[in-house]
Amino acid sequence: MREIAVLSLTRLGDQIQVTPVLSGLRKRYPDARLHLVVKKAFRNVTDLLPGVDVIHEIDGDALAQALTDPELPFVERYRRAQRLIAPLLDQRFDLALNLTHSNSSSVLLSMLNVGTLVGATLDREGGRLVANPWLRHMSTLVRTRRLYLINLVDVYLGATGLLGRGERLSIRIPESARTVATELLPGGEPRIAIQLAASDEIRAWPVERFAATLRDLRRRLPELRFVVVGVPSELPRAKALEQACPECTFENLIGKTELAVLAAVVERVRLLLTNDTGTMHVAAAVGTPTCALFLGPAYPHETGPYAEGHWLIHSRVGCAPCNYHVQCGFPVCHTDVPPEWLAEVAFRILRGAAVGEVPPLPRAELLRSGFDEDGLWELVPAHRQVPEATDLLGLVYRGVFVETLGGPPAHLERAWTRAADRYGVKPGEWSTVLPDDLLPRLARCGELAHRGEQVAMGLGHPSADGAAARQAGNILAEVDQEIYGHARGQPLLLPLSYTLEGDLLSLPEAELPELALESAHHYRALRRRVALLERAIHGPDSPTLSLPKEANP
Amino acid sequence: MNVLQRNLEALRTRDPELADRIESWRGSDEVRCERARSGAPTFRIDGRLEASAEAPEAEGRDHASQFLAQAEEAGATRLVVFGLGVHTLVSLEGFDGPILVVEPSLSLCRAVLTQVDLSAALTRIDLIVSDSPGPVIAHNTFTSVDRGLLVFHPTARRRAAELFDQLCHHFHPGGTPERLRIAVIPPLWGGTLPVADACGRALRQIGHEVIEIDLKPFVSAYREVQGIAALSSGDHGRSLVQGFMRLMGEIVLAIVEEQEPDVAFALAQAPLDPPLLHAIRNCGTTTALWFCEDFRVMRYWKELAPHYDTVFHIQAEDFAEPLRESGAYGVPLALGFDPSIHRPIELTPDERMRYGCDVSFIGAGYHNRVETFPTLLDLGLRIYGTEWPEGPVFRDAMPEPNARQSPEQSNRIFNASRINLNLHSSPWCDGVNPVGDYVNPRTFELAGAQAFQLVDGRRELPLYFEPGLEIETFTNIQECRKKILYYRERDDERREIAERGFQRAVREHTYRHRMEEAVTALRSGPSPVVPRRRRHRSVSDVLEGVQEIPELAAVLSRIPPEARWSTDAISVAVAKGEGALSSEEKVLLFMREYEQEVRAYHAERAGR
Repeated sequence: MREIAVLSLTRLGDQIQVTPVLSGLRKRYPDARLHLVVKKAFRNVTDLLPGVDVIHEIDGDALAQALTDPELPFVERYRRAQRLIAPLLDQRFDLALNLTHSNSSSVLLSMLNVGTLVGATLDREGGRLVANPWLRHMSTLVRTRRLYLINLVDVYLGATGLLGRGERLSIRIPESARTVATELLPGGEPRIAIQLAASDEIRAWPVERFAATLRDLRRRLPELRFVVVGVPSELPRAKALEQACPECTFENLIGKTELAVLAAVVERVRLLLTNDTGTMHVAAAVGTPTCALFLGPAYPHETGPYAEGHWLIHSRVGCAPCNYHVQCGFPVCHTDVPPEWLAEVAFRILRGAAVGEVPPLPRAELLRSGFDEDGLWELVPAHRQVPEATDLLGLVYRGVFVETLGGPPAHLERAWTRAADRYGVKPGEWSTVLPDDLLPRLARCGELAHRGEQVAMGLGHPSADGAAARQAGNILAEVDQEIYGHARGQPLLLPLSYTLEGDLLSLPEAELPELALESAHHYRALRRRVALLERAIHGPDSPTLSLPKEANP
Repeated sequence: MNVLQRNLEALRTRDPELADRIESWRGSDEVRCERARSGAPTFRIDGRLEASAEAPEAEGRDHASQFLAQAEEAGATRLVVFGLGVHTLVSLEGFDGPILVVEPSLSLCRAVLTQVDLSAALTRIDLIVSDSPGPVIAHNTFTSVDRGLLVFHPTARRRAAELFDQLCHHFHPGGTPERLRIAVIPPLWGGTLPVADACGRALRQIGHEVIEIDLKPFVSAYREVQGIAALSSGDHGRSLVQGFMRLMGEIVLAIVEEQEPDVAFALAQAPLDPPLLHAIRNCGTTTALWFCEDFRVMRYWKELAPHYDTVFHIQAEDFAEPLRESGAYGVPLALGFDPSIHRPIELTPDERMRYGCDVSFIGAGYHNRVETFPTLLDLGLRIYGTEWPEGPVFRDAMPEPNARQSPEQSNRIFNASRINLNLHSSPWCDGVNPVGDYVNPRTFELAGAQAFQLVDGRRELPLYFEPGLEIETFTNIQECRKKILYYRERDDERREIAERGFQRAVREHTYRHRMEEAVTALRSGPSPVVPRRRRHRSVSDVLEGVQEIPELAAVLSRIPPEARWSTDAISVAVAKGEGALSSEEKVLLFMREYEQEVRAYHAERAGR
């Protein structure tokens, strides 16, 4: 493995979340050259990333301007697009990873001269294909996020075979940046940093709520200084915050910190109070505690800071997390967190007191980040919650998916223990929380998966003739439709449908026997998922249930 | 016998002189034959490729299918193809009518005939090789009644732009080269509806892009609303109907905003009110109304006319002044007929049995008809149409009582009747309207069907037909009766008059003629309409210059050149699942996806 490319055509936070993969790849392939493909606008992030040998910039802004300029002849737009990607096409890569989720990146990946592809790409005829089960599942399960409790970084690590090896977020802060940070924040007074905005308005907590929080904190800790960070467009928010808190001491660094300095500034403060932002991931990378609000479509289980000991707040209102691109006229998740309560959380973090002893909120949860027994990142609620079906099944799905994707085996005992600790639901009592139709539907899905596996195995036999193959193909099509029907009829089972559908759609171009065996593997994986879910629901005292063997992808 | 000789032998059967010219031509070497990647020949003239460097046969097939689709859409029975598209001709076999190919370059023509065996095609097409319009305009296709549809190969149009424009001028008065996008806005229901359909077809025939707005799906809902309104108190009922019509107008506006036509061409009773007309104008669209109704009876024109850029009308003499006084710009435009519907036809024996009669009339039971027709019933008058009084008077005269006849059925009746009676409607006269001026569509339709008609003498009729020679008239019902008795017995006289009327009608009075006049008027009026700059441009506009990259041009040639451009057009060009994608296709996909992501990002930001 000599040349490895990582496509990360995203924003600051996503770039930081790629760092465990970069450092893991560097360790595994110490002699390989590591190429990172980024958008020019985020080029400066790459200075902080470890282990990268070659940076390829794509000037996304110039391309965007060219593609949307009605005055520019089409042929010129084409030429510009061609010029933009031409340098990448000259290069031969042994391995290319697409850790971007856009369609354009999948087209780009398909154009590269690559030995092994990982991530979203196109098949030779132009169909979208996610060449890796971890990334494929993530892209389909984004539609049932409350049941998918796996952090994005673990997905990346799983996709690259680096899961559970202790890789963490990391960035390199140049000493010069630390010097600037010291000049900007002289003295040793206690400080917290605040990031007011987010990538999306709906993800940003209202300024007046931040202000009320800071006033409360100031009352408790008069010596505390407040460092406001962000890009120039956040200046009006910062002004509004300062006006609303005349008694607070602000150090307004908005627009004054290039990225390395931002990292050094965050490193110098005791706490970052923020929405789900790139700065949050910077804080996690430099070891500064964060207290982060996940609002709107932001989902802490998915993009929480990949480190231990961070405190995240998320609404438990039914619509949270909302779908991407939702236009919400009444974001109740913004009002679920009282400012004085958040001030109490921040106060306890700063004082090193027991944060989990803050009173619980009726409609929001406080979560602490950490790593589970297998080294996968997880969130632990600070308070016991009223159980919802998604809470329980989310615990099982987590283990089930990790296992069937080639990660550590699922331990139902853990799910039972966590369900009892976090939600007060003992093993064997899960049915009291779950809908009645769940088990019958699961049973039918299991039968169908078994049938699918058998038929596919028969097809994989070299003696299968044309007529038999057609008949088997028809049976499988019916089996698939019935599975999809059963699973889609119950939202809690949607992950089963989406994953099987995604897997079957992404079957490689191959001869029939090979395709059949690959399909059989996916049906077996489904059987295993179904069986684990059934077992989890019935509890440990259900001797009649036997689990199919683990499915090895 | 080599390829050239075989081709020339075939060509000689139709045009020996041209075959000799080509054979003796030793012209410049500006044309080079090359092999495309597919192995098929493609030609380079003055350094530019005439066809795809990759798969010219596929490109030719695409051109041919586009031409055929255009012809079908326009109802064209003849095709004039500009440019000798080598690989197109073979695929035009599906076209039944005559095909005339105009090729400006003799060098290209010789080079093509030297390399490609077109002998089969050359026996059935007419080929003119000329770089000036004279020989083309003299060809019988151009001098015939149905001049057909002019289609072009973009490469030929580019290398002989002047000739193409000259041909367009002769071929499509009021039509191309500046092709307009015209939205035809029909009424919700009523007699003008078929006129709207005919206008759309005619505008397409002269080369314009037509956006047909179809309100027919809403008719049943409208009837429901009318029914409820009838049960409601006066004001409430009225506001219900008005609200519904306003909704129809908003639908029209939404389509106009989206499709960005150059002209919104509304027919009488179209659901547009002054605020909507202003909104349409604000979109940059020129508005026109064809008020094909009697302005003395239908008075609503006063409120609407000043809000249109142009009002076409059917009362050339008396309506001009009132229109001017109202502040509107008026242009007289008579009604016409659609030769694809109203035409001489051979009837089957069953149809003769069913429709054959001495005298027939098709039309609604207006006051003057109800008053006078009883005196003609003893002559065997058969009446078709709606709104006739029930009861004994007309019962025996109506084979299909109060049933609406389709245009096709009407044409059968016209063709089957010895004498077709045509009495213009009047809500107040007892018989022939003594001050009637405009000419109704039935007059033109009957002439177009080559049917003999007796029509009441309208003041403006001599503008369109010569009474006594091309059409027979009456001034009162007694005279009508006398002429029925006279012509009933004189087959030859009827046939001669009908034949002369038919010739005049096809020469001057089709809807195609009317639309040519209308577009010419719109282009030369006080605010001349020109193709507007659209947010959404046509594919051919956007792709100007892509020939510089032949591989890219080959991919993009799969998009119909007249289609509206959007990033989705790239999806048409890049056919997924039909073989491995080329690098050009992947770059195009990358552009499309990136552009969509950028636009989605901005739209989301703007939405907040």
